Amino acid sequence: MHSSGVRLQNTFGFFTTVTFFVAALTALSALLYPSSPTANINLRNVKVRTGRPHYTSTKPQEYLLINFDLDADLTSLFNWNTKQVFAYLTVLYNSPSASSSPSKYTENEMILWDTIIPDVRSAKLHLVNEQAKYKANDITGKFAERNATVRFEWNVQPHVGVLYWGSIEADAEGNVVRKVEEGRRGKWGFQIPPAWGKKPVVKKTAV
Amino acid sequence: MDALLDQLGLSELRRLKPRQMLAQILNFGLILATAFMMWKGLSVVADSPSPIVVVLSGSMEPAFQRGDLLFLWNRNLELNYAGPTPAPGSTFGGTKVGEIVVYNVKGKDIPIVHRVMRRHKGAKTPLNLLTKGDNNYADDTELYPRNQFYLDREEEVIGSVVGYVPFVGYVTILLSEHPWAKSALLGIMGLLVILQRE
Repeated sequence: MHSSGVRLQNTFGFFTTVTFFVAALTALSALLYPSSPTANINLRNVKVRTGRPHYTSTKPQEYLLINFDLDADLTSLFNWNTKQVFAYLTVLYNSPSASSSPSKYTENEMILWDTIIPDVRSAKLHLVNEQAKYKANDITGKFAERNATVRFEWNVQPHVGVLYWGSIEADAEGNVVRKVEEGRRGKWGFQIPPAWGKKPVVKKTAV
Repeated sequence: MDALLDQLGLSELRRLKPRQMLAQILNFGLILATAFMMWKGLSVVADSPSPIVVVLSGSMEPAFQRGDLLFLWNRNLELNYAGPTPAPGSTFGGTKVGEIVVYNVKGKDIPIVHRVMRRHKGAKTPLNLLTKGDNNYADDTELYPRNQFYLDREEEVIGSVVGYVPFVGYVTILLSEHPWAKSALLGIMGLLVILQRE
């Protein structure tokens, strides 16, 4: 059979096969590309303010306000299969509440600031005294002076293939756990302060 | 009957013997069944009612555009577990902040693909998530039902995005936006299978 229909069908079939294999090879080969991102965070100012989420709301909420410095180099995350990198700063407070009223939520994490990095030219981040992008309130409405740490994370989104995530975090003393430029250590951990105008329930221990 | 087939341009059908005709119909059924079984098999592996979804809105632009195909994984529920300590490596990690999840709001049957912004969990509470589209200014509280501020990972989320293929799903958007296209495509496919004699 040598009709034009069969030819069209064969051409289309060949086109899809080639596309599939090129896509599969692109997705697989990019996983072998080495990457060594670095990041350092320095917390400048942590405040808690009380407010209402909406003017009709009756229940006041505590909001966490943070200013921070960030130096990050995500250049090495960009290869032939990187469409964009979503970089974000999270705050974790898993510790039991310091105050007398324990929260039933013991694992908490929220994104305070994020950015989309579209290309390798903007992959170096240098922020000074940046204000957190999102007004963060706890699910119970109160932060209860818990100990918290910040974490810098990223999500690499491909042109085709698997998405992957990575993070750089520090331990309780502020020592960076993973890959970070030597000699520059910022403040990663803190105790969430009481809301403005309220007396602290516990004595501040962290320096 | 023959005249009708000629008029429709399907004179080829006349030359098929009944046995051949039946074999072709069986063949067509086999193709449909294979596709269905592959879909259901993937469903079991990913533990999701819908392991592959097509992006319908632009709220995650520029990463996900309309018509892109997403592969989901739904074994990261992180349920509270009361039994003996499981062997290390035998459980799947839970949904984390920064992950992209697909969820269905009760009462609306459009799946929404958005990123997890907050996560709150306790020993006796479900895993609570707050989501937001990368391209949206506000979080999704407005999209949830009235007086609901967080998503329940187990109840409302149908999976986390793990894989991405651009554009391939655009066909389904075309098919759902132009209903006649669906019947036309099915008809053409069926005829081609029946008419092919090799």
